[in-house]
Amino acid sequence: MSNLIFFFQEALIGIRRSALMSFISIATISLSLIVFGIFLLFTINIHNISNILQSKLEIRVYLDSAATKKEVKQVNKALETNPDIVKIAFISKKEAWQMLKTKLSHINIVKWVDKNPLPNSFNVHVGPNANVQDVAKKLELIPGVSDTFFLGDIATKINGTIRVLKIFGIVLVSLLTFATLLTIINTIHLTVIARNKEITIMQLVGATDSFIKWPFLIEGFIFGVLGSITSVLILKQVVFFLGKKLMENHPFFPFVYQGQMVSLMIWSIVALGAIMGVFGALLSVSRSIKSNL
Amino acid sequence: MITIQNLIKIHDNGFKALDDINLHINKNEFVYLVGPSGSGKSTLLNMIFRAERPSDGRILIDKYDINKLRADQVPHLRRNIGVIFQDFKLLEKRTVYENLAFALRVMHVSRSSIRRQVSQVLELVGLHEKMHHLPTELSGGEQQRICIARAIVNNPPILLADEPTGSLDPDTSWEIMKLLSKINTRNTTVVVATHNKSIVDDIRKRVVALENGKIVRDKELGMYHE
Repeated sequence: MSNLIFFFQEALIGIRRSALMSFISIATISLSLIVFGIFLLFTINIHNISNILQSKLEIRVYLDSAATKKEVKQVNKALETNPDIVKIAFISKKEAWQMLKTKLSHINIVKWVDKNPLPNSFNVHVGPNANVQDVAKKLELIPGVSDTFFLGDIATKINGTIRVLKIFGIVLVSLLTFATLLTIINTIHLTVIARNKEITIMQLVGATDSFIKWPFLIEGFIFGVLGSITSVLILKQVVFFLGKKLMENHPFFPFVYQGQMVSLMIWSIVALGAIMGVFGALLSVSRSIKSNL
Repeated sequence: MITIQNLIKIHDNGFKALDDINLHINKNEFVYLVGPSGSGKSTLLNMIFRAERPSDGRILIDKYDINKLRADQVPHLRRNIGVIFQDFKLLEKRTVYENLAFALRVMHVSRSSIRRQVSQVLELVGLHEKMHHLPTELSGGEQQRICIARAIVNNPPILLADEPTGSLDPDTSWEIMKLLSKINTRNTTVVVATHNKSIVDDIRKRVVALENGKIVRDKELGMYHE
């Protein structure tokens, strides 16, 4: 325990006595994590948009107005056994009429149409790998189905674009994670190298390897945490500001800037900073110890 | 105390720094290693505290072959050997007190013992009043005395000095050597590598002369030159 306190004191002395170097290290870690965070947020948003767009990949299957209950059941069964369909919801003509009335309440549709003209229908979601057009064509052949409606070609195209964007986002974040890791490790490495002479002296007076390493590991941890917390604070301000502005001007744009995903992102940035700080220090100080004496 | 047998050191570039060195140094002895630059004095000292490894041969300290020590045992060897350097090797950003305290802290000495021992050794080297100064605020002679203080603060049985007066003026060099003689009388084996002729000739001790990595002379109460 007394050793741990001593190591902490040593780490703090190290940081204080190389104040400029410490500041530069924290700033570098912070900046690289800000860039990382921005791209992470970008990817989170691409995923979010893609999920929303994909939920629009749905087909409305209208039934014959004369279809009996038995026929409706048969259609339901046919839909359930279709491998391209991932979600099915039955909308009765009553429900459909109610929905339409609510949707068009401002023009009071009842004034113009006195009887419910809508048929029973199914709302089905198509899996991301299916071709919406092909699925719709097949559905029209089911007995009892009168018509289908979907967004057409555009839905298929969006589906393809989403997939490309998702892959692009994942590749980008992976590359950037790697670049951030290297930046943090290199930054910590420079602080250790600058104190190589100190490490040699410690070895000369008979300090064990772990005795030398601990203060550096704690220092790396402190650099990582301070750098990542700074980056998170800045990111939060910038993103929150941008998010608010965007929501004000484009209220329907589904921009994610708070909530569970973003909290997860913040914690991953802090964890990344801390772990890489310690790892960078461990790598560098071990190398120094080995190469010195 | 220190026994060196058939020691050979060939550097990576093929240079033979030490060539079949055989030497025995008794407990509490004071030995000068003399010889021109490049004769192998520093390499020999480095071998004794395992800063360098020999290409062949053995170094025994109290019958232990130091090159057979595991890496984690080396720090314990170094705690028993104080080393003084020409360039002092002090932690520049730490005060005199912190420099000395660190050497004791690595040995898990308690805080109160650290205070006592540091105070005593600074008294011995005559720099008690400079305790809270940074090394950069001290003269070369004072820094060397701090380096000596650090080397002996835990009373190691062996003290090695590599050109301890190399960068000091004659008066200061004289003071440093007197200090080393004094330490020798406190039951410490002292080995000093030097090419300070006047000191070797004035403070007469055993002289081991090296040339081209070989021992060419070994004489009790010897002189710098034959």
